[in-house]
Amino acid sequence: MKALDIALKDMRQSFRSKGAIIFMFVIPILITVLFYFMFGRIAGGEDSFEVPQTVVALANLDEGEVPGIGSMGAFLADVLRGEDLGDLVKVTAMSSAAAARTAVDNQEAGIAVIIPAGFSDALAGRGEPAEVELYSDPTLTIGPAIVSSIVGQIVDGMASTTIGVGVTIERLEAANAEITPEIVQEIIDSYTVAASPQQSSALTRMQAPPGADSGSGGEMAELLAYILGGMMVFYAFFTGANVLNTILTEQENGTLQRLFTTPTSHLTLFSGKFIAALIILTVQIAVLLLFGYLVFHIEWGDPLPVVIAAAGLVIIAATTGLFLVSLLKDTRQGGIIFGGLLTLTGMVGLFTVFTVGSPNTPQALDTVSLLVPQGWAMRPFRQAIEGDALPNIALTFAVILLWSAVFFFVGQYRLRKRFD
Amino acid sequence: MRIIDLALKDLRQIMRDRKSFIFLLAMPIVFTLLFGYAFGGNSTADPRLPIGLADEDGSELSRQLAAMLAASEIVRIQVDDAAVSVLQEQVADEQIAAAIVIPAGFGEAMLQAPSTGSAPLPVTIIGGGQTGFTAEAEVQAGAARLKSAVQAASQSLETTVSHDLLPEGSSRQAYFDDAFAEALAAWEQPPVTILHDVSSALTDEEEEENSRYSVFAHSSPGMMAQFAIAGLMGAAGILVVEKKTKSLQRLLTTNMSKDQIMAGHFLAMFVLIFLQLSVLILFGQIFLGLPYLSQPLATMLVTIATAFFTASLGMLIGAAAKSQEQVVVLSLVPMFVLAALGGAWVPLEFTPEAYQRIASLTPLAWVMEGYLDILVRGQGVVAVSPALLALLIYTAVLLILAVWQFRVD
Amino acid sequence: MQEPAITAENLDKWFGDIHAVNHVSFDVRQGEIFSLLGPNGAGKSTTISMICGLLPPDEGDALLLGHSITRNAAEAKACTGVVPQEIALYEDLTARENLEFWGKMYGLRGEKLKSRVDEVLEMIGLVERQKDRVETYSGGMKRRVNIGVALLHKPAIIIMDEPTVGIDPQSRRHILDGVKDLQKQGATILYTTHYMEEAQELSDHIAIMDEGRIIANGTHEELVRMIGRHDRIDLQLTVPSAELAAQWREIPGVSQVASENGVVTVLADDSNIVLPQLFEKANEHELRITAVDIQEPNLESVFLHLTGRALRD
Repeated sequence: MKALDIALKDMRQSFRSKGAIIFMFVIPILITVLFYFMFGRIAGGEDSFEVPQTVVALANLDEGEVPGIGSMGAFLADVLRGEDLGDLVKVTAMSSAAAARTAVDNQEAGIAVIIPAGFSDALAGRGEPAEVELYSDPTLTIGPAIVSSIVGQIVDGMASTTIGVGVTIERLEAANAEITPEIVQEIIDSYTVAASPQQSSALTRMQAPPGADSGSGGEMAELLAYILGGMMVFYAFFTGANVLNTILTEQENGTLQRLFTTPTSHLTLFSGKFIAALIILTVQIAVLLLFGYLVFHIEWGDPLPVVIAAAGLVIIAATTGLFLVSLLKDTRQGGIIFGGLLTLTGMVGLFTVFTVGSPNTPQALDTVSLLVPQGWAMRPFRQAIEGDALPNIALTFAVILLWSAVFFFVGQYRLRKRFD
Repeated sequence: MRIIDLALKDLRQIMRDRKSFIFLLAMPIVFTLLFGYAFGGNSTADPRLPIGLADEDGSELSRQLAAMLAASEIVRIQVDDAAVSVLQEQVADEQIAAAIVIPAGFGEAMLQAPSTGSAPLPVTIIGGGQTGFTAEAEVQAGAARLKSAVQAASQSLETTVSHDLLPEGSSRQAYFDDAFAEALAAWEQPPVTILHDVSSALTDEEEEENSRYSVFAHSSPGMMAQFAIAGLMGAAGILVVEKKTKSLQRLLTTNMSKDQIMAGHFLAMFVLIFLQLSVLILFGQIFLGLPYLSQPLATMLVTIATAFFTASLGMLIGAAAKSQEQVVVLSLVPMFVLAALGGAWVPLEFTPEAYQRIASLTPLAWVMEGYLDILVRGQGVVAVSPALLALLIYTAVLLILAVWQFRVD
Repeated sequence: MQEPAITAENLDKWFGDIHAVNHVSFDVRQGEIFSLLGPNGAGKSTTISMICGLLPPDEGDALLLGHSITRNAAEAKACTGVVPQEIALYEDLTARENLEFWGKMYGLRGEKLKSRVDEVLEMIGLVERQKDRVETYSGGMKRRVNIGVALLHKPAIIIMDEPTVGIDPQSRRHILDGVKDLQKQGATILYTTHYMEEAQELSDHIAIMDEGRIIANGTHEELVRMIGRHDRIDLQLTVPSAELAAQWREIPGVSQVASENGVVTVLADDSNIVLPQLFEKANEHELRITAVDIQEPNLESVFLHLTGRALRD
């Protein structure tokens, strides 16, 4: 009974503390919202892939022409300026290659497209091969990659015409045929259609991987599930540590010593603190799960796995807090160590959340995240979201209990040794 | 002189807490490495996009396409002997970025397309987002070249036949095959190519060095800036302790003015953060090969401006907070928000335009801009001066607020 | 004979090499106010901490109404209320919430708790501010709540550790009157202080502590009688002189001479006989005595007599 009185007193203090409320609820939600806005582009909708409009500094230095067609440099420039690409590309004409490069150097453009003087000549089969220079801002990837892809397609299309015409003419010449201008025009005409981007697009089709919701909201909701879940785990450990840290606070305030002068055993006292941590954590996690479900439409998974995951988080966050507090001398140490150690272990444990979607993430980092309790605390939530089998989730829960048991044993042993 | 005495006192208090001091150096180093690995993979390993390939056609053309992808500088075939269902799982599990499925009949359809006018069978790319787009672009380029070669061979055959120029004894198929081979060979040296270059004042050597470690070029300044703010937990905590233990009130009974007291605390925070950033810059230069010192003056100025801004934020936190708990909250919240907004975790380029517009105004975005100008663009003082100005403006605003809060208290 | 309310039996405590409490024993009779008087660092708080159960004694034991603090801590604590020297309250809770919580810790529940909290709030004069958080209170008000907490369960024994340190005279008066009222209600009070006048005013029995030991124990009259009829003469000199002090010590009838902050205190059998000789010696040294104060023997004198030092350091 007294343990509950102590727990209720601690809860009252916690929920009255603005700082505690901010940590428990505001920050996790705030960061999730930030990630929502940050990753809104990458998650995207069904077919949409919102890309930035890239400013292109275009220097068309082409001097020649392809007979019957005209300047290929101008043609390329017109395509880039065309309405079809208006959302992706904004072209700024430059008088020289140097000016175009300078525009990129000064970050006035994301990429410079420099069409060389012999562009048309090269495409007409005259003179040396030409190089279209793409000079990009090294800190940008998407915009220059898109422009590079567009220019590449167009240039390839033009080159395919030249190659096709060239091969045909060469073979006719090899067959001792008379190559008249009419024949050349006929050959060119037949290749022009083949070079258009519209033709190329029929060569590939995209298919979403299994499990990816084709609805525009689904992918975002899943991403947010990881983010909010991760933030919930991250800040739950802060909550557990802060609640148990009141042992040190009360020691410094003198109320702990005063409690020791009452007929209240140390066991009752520390039990009360621990119960407070369990209850406060349960409230925090329940609120965040509900918030995620109602506001972000997050599908956390089947009820039983979610309950198991939540229970695991409550237990491990509370016992980790107990363990950490047992190591500390005073609240000043606690301030830095909690903020520092919990941030470090939290980010290590939640790496798989922060790097979701990155294809270059080494698998080893998944293992690294399991070196800290936060990694294990997050695991059943991931399993629940992904619809993993119950036995797997139960196994993870068992490991969480093991971590918790060790922390609890060490933590209470050290505290009893200090205060008994 | 008393300002320096006060600053030295603060630094002594902070340095005595060795555990936390080491933490504030160790953490950004650990996270620089972790984020670098997480987003860039192993910097010494193949940086190309890992993909899977399933050739369900097995024709000459599908093998040609597979060969093109194998020679690609953009994608790398990681798996080529698995069933489509397995590749789908691997994409879903993010083991590979995308899976390419060349459908049965691909070669035949492509060969028939010029004469029948039918569309070739499309190659399926299983994936999504940026990586799917990249893989699709690469496949498209390869398929387009194949199609062009088929077109060339077909057109050449048609023209030859229409002018009755098919050599005697030569079959249409043989003629087509020869022409196709010629066209493919011509693609080895196309009339027009693309030359990719980047805007960078780095020397070739520095660029080569940088490209090897470029995965850290973003995470290093990002984590440095983020954890400089985290470091305020200790520095700002000194002010709170001073208030709580009434030593501040005692200081005010001396003939040290409030401004002098603030200056002393500010100096301590600035020195602490400057030292922290300097150590991390040296770490980045020596162990990560990042060219911070290719522009020593620019690096120093950006570091000073970053330290000024962070110290001014610390002053405001110290003036506003009433307890250690509040210090932790008021340090961590800006740390996360500013880091997210500033592009310390994810480059702003990947975020929506509205987000970018707001974010680019925030202080850490300027810090990132300044360091990236040096590290990636190899630029100097002139290029970083907008960042310096922005950070100094932020410093001034925060200091004004801090002084006001201090006076109110 | 009634058993003592508190019995301290050979309490002993070491902190490293420091023998903080050295075989301290005393009895506190039921219903009396017993003061532990001594300078800072004498061992008073350590002794109290052992009696309250905050610190385990290295040797010895304390009995509270017959319950051993080492073997029957819960029973011993149940009959004791402790007022610590520093304010030990939850500042983010209201006065009422504090009292309710602490009442529960002392085993009070339900209606009994509620009515007792009402009574204590009345007693400490904070009925109107009961719903305000303690952090908004003045120092004096916090002290009142600090005391009120100890009274909730109507303990037979109240232990007060220097409750008037650092507070204004009015609040101090209030507390001293409150202590007397508590005694009238039947409580036994163990009171520590380094203020002689408090010990004199309140106590039925006084134990003087110095350097971890009880150096004297008795009523005020007994202690004063112990040093005989010793007048206390405080003299202010223009220039302090150790040589003069040494010569004064040689004067017949002078038992103690101590210098503190420019004031020389002389304990003498009869100030009327000794005083002229003191002046004479001062003249011989060409030193002027600028102020003289003669007091009847008091606890200050007792302490000075026993230790050679002033009670207030």
